Amino acid sequence: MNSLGSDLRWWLRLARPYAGAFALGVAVSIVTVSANMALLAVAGWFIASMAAAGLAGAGMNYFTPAAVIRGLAIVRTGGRYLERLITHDATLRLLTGLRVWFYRQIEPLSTVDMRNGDLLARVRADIDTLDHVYLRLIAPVTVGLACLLGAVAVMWLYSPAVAHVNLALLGVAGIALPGLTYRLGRAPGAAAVDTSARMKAAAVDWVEGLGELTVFGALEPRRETIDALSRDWIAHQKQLSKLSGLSSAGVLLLTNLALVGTACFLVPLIRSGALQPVDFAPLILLVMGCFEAVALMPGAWQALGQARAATARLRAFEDRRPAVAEPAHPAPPPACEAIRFDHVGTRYQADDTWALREVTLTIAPGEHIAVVGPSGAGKTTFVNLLLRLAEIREGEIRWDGRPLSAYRAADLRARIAFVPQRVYLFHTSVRENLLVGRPEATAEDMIAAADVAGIHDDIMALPEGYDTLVGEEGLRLSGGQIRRIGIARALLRDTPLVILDEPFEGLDMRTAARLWSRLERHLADRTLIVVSHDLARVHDFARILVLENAGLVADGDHATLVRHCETYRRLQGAYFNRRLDRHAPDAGRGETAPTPELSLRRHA
Amino acid sequence: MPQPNTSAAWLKRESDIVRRPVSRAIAIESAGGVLMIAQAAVLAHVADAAIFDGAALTAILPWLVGLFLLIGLRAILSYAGEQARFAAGATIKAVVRERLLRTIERLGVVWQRRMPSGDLVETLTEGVEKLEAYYGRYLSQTAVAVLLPLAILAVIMPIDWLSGLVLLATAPLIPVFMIFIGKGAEKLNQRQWRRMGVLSGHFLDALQGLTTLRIFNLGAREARLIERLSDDYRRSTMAVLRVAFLSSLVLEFLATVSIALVAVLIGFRLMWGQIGFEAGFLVLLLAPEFYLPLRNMGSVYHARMEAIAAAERMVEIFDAPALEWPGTRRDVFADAPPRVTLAALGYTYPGSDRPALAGIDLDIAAGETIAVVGASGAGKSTLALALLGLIRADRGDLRINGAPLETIAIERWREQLAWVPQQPRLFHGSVRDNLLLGDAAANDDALWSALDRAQARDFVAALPRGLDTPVGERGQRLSGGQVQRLAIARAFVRNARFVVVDEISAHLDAENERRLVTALEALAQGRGMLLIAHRLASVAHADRIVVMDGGRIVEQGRHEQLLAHGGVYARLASDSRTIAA
Repeated sequence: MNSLGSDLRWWLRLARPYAGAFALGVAVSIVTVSANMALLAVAGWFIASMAAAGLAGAGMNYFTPAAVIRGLAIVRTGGRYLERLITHDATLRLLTGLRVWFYRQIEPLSTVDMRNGDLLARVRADIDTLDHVYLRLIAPVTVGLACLLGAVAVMWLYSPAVAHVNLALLGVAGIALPGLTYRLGRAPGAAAVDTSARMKAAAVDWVEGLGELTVFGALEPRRETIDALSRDWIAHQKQLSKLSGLSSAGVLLLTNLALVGTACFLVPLIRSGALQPVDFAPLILLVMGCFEAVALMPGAWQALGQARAATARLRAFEDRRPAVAEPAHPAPPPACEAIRFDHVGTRYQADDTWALREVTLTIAPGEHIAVVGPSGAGKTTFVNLLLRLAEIREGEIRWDGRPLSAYRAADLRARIAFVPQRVYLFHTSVRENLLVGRPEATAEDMIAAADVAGIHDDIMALPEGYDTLVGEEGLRLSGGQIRRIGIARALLRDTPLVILDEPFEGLDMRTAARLWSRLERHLADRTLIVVSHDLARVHDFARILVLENAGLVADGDHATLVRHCETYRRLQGAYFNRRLDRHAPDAGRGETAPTPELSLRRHA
Repeated sequence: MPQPNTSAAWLKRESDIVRRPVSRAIAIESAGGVLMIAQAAVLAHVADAAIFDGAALTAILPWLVGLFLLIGLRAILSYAGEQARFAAGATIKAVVRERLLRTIERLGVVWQRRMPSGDLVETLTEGVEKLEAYYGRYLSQTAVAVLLPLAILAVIMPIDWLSGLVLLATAPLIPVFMIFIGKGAEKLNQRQWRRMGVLSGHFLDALQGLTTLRIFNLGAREARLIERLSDDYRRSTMAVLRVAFLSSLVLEFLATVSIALVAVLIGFRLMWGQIGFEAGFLVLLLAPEFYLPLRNMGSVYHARMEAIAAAERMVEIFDAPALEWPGTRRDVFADAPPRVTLAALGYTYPGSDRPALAGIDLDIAAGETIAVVGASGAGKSTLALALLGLIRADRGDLRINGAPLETIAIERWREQLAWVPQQPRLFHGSVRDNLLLGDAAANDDALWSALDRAQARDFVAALPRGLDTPVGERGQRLSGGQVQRLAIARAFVRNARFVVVDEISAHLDAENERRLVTALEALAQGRGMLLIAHRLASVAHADRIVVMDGGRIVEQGRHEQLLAHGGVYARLASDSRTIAA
């Protein structure tokens, strides 16, 4: 965790654009709380003076104090309203800024970091937690301290001793005691958070594995584990509750002691004539008014703990390096798709095994290339390098004569239409999802692309056609349909290089064959790279790359590879590829593994 | 259930469990209130003595000592009250959580699969936490909000009936206003929550689809979109807050004005000598305390709303029909594979109008391997669930060694069973923990031998810590084929007499596929097996192939017979042949 000072500076830096509103909020709040304290004091002075006047049979100007009381009541209630409006508006602005800041922060990070849906959900909650920094931490502490000090200064005018007593007792009640509680509560607090996370993980396991646990007769021990974690969690909360109970009892004791102490000092002063007797009432009530300022503080300590934990998690993203570095002086975008791999190697983390190594090959513009290989051979990494989603660690890729790192990643991506192995559909309409490919495309372009991908008819059959919502709250599409939307989306880009990662997964064989013949025609004059398991589809390619164990083992056409490449022959092991369920028109549904993005979402 | 099972009624009914801590909390807080009144009275006396009697410190000292004792007592009560409130919340949380766990267990997988598991887990954890505020705060605070103002009135009325009248007249306005305004704000609030949901949903969506946005060069556009949505949200939230804050403005104003009115009324009567200073000062001290519990009701009411929302899902769980197996017979099993007979077995999923199983007749001989094929939706998985006792057929008969499953103690049947689902769950823990689910007493040798027969030895041995490698949610990533082979190994560990397998249908490369088929073949030795098959290679080894369509068996026989028959199966097989050609 960063130091408190560093966190504070970080918060202030993020809040700088809204500093004016925040300062105004604090100022109004100080006026409001002071008005309340003054209201009590003036009311006390008023009735004591009225009583004194009554006893003395003298008259008194009661118009001024009555007007002051009215005025303070209005300032207090109106000020509170204004203050809440100002601070909430500023806080919501800050949250907007934080969301955009965070999005910009992670946008260039590597994909591997971003697979964890739980992590993302927590980040979202963390950003929302940071509204506490101002509303529950900085503002109450500033306001509380300012009002306390102001009240103590007023007391000083009457009696320095009374001011000292109050400063000491109220300071301990408002700052030292909550601070101590916070420190003591850190360990049980962390334990409670940890236990609840463990319980949550155990509950996810238990709920999702309910069927298997039932069959294996293993429900009871697992249920007891969750139950035990629940009781542990409550035990930690009990410790916290004891602490907070002690703390609020302590605050009650100290603030009321300040009251008794003040009385003790005032009585002799009145007797000695150093103080007007009627001043006893306003001073006593001023001390009571300070309780409100003190009460603002303990919550701040709690907020501090939560805000710092959230901040630590968010700031961790600042330290992550982007997946690929952008050039300081980018070259103009490449003019053609002549690409050369020269002893290229990469791995995702320094201590990982190589994901790809010693790959040397040339891709000529307009060439159609298939990439095959067993799972984990490096096919997707090969594609990620071209898309600048992964950084080259060894060797070099030259595109139109220049190394990839000379170009802006956006310039390269503008020339690539890509269909990933796991197509991500946003939770919006089919239309919006297609337009991700080219936001300014016309409806005709969009339908034409959907036609080539063989998804137009499917879309028209949806309840609201292109305007049907997809995803969690919308329609559930089959794996094959999602894939074809991904293909249409990519085709809409109309780029010279097209990369398809497993375009036929989840499609029944007739659909796959029809799709392929349309794609082949449509992409005839472009550079095309197809990564596929489906060896029936790759026969026709003039060039097939065979990857295995992170290396390029063969490069040639079907006939050559069948003769010379053992891996290729093994992949062709046709017998095992016979599938019984491919005839179903909807074979894709539920049978391709859900994308991790979607499956993680379930717990989000 | 005797009462309508709304969540509010449920919350109220459950309060029986915590009657004692809640009553204790009310008693303690009321006592604290009485002490607070006493403290105000002593303070008023001290003030009177100090201002108008010119009393010496020594004369006042006994009163100050009394004040000190009262404060100490109040601090103790404040601590005790917090403990009582916590006890109420803690008791209810522990009880409800355990009951939820036991209930969910009895509802079965069909029910569980229809419920998003994220929701269930949320209910078990944070949902139950939300109950705490209802039992820990709402119940006691509402009682105190009635008792304490009444007690204060009881003190004020005899000494100054006019101030008492002002308080009495304004007090009911506060809860009335609060409910009136609160209801409207609640509606606005809910709309706002939905907007918040849209906004944070969009944000999460953008984060999860980040790679897509990046490869389509839409990063900058998305940042602007997030900013715009977030700003829209701010504007609409502020519109709601302006109303919500206005309502609290009215309430505060009401309370403040009444107190000011009391102060002014007291002031004039003091001047006219109609009331003593001590009495007047006491009333002034007590007036804010009179409104305090009423003003706190706002946040307490909010806690109640949250608890009601959280309880909705719980009531739904408690009201769902459980899957019960009444049988008790334990004598139907011999040390051999069982014979399983299905006669006219039918099952319709709740809420569906089409039967998933529409009369299945199937006799599985002891040790026989049956391969089930058919399009998705044909009823294959439902058949598997029925054999596993995870659903109870609504029509027909399922007999194990001649005895209806309803008469058998279900756990005895399950002891005979192992299950290899299509997407087996890897539980949080090590590879070993996951295998031991089959048989908790198995030693490492047995585990390795099972892994060997399941064709899983190589990749487990290659894992960084072998059997101790953590798997599951945050553990090692394994491929679908590997996970299924681990599940097969688990079935070997169990040494079950009957195995239900739902073969993985996702694409596997040739090597993985060969190993899977080999492992299944080994698993079938010496056991009965029902295999939901997706590959010709797996089917080829079955003793019998059953073809399902629309919840019925439409064909059965051996591979060659079915091919010769030229029906659905022949069509399936020829389709797959053309793929492979």
